[in-house]
Amino acid sequence: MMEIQVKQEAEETSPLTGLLAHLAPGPLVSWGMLEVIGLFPVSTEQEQSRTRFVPPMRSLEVVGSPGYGTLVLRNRASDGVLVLPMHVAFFQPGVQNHATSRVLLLDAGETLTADDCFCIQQAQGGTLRQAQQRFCMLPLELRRAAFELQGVKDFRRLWTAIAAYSRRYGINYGGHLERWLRPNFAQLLPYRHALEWLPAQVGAAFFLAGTLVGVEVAPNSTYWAELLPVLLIYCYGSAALLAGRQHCAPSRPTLNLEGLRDLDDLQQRLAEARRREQRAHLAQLCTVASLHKQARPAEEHAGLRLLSISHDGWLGQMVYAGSELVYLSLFRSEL
Amino acid sequence: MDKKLLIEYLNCRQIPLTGQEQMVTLHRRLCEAAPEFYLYLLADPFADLSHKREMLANLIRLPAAHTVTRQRIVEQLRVLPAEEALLVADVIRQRRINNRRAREIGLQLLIGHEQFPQLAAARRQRVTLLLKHLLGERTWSSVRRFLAQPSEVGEKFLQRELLHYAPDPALARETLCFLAGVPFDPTDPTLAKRIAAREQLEHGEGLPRETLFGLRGIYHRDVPASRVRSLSASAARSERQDGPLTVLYREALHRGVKSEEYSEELWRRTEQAVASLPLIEGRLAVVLDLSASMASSGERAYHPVALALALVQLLQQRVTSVMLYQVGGSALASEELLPKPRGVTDLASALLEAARTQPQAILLITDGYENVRPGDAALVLQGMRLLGLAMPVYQVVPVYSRSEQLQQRHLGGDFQLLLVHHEQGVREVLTRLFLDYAAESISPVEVEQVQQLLLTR
Repeated sequence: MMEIQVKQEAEETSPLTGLLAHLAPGPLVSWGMLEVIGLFPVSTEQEQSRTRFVPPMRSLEVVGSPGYGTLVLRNRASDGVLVLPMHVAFFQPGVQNHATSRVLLLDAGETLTADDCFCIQQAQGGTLRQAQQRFCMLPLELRRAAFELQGVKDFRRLWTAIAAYSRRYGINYGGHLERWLRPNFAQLLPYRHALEWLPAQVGAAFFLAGTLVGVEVAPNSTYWAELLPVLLIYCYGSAALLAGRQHCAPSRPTLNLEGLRDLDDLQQRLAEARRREQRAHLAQLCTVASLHKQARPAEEHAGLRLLSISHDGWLGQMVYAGSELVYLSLFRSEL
Repeated sequence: MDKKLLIEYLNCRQIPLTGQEQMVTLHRRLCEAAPEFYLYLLADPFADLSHKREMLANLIRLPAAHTVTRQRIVEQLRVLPAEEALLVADVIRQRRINNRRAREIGLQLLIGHEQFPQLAAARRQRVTLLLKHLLGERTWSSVRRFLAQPSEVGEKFLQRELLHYAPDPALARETLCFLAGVPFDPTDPTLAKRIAAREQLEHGEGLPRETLFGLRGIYHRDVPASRVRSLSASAARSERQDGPLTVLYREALHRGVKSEEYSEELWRRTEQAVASLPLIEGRLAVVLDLSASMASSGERAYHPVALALALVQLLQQRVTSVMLYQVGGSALASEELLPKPRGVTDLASALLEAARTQPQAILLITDGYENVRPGDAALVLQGMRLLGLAMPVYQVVPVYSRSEQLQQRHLGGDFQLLLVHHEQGVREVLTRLFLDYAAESISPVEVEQVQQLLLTR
């Protein structure tokens, strides 16, 4: 009940402009070092006009990988476009795991070959088998390297970054992402449980210990419901876990209890602390609103335009349908 | 009795007791203060096995407990599942308790148990060692001899030492032959299965997994472990046993049925569940977390919310005044029988609202994923204490398994943490509420009420 009211208030007075003008922020929620502001469409018509974008988990099929670094993917939906999120990874036992280097656009029923993918399991042979495959996502700290290395045809090119990343967790196994993931998965799962999906939500801004580190927007709420757990566990949860281990502290306004008069006073102080925190986070979110002006075209397909951003410490890609932003993945290059 | 003893027992009963001197002292004091009540704790379904072993040892050894007859101790042990009773009784051997009381209790329990053959078949070594300890090496040796070479003297001896405890002497003799390694023709199907499994493991289908693995280790080393697992009965036994209300809520949430379709069944099950529970006088505020995380996922899907709704339903029936404050949810639980988990977890605001009515106790039924400024609930409680509001505040966590990690999900040190994995856990909640209202020293009548709350099924 409460979040619906908050959302309605937010719609009326959405402080977001530019890139995020069609969105209204929800309440700030957090778990550990990770804080999230949900993003909601300002109008219900917007949600209805985007039902043609199919949800990625249930629509994607991995047809196979004919060679290392190449993935053949298919949109299983007979009606609807699939925007495959950036930097998704596929794990199968006993074969070489792969990750994509960019957003991929697949029309209804289309099969697409992407030959600039990364192998993410240095010493494992074998190619991916056909499967309706769930995917995970590269950890936030690896996404800069993955972004900068897109378009380069060398399946080994992410191994050095994976090895360096794993070492930060005390794991020294070279370019094997799953050797980092397995021992840490149980600690990553609570992020998914704690930072809950809200009805009608289509995106979120992610903060690490008080600093904005990423903005993700999906075409519609069904799509977002599938994408959010993946982002929380693998991408942003992993960064929050590492920040926690490095003893970072969330920059949170404290609730001063000195001279407390009564419960009304306590309630007012609580509300004020929350308002201040929400304002500070929203102010950061507003700083990325004009980044779309720096975007450069990358691809046009299925009536959609894919653009890349690399500006002012931010990297990412966005997809436009006409003048409407339907997908955005934006992350900070330096954490 | 000092009520603190009971509260301490409730606090520690699920924690293994090994090497915890404080808990050992607590048991001794409980036994000395109220041996009759202490006897009933033997059947406490939520107590760790190590506590029950300590209880049995105290009931045998402490002079204060000698008013409790051997027969009543055995009866109480028989309330436990057979294998658990055996593990509890094994404390007599492990602590080398050698006296007549221990021997009588042990033999009555084992030989007189209707599942004696099944126990012997599944736990041969443990049963044999316990029998040997209870009888003594020489008597056990004579038993073996008389079983192997029947005679009139031997028959009298067996009757005097063992068989008079048995409801079916012929079956007990068979079982003793099996334990003593004396050849015989088994009529009991479990014993027959156990013996046949030595020749061919497949004949032991349905025996416990540990038993089959033991046989494999000795007689069938080439049989793959997967085959043993498929033959064993453990899988069926380890199935989850949720309470009737939890099952109903969970099914309804899974299937998305309308309230009116199952409300009748809900009331029927509620009436059954509360039949053995006394009514507790008190004003209780319940903060019910119905945020999205209470839905959980995978095999745990809808378990936390179903268990939370079941607990609220039972509390509303068994506490005279319950005020409900809800966090999240698709509808108000007070108006809709089946609200779905939805939304963010703002426990602090709900706690504040609950505190305004100045209840005698506040329960927060939540998974602990406080995501609207984590730590605010703890600060609000701190503020309440500063304002002189001293009512006990509990965090009740519906858990799927006892091994769940809760360090991160404990709202704060000032919240008394109660883990509930079954709707019968409402008994502990009610007991604590009852003790919160009671005076420091509780009367025998009140002890009986606690016994009814905690243990009567």
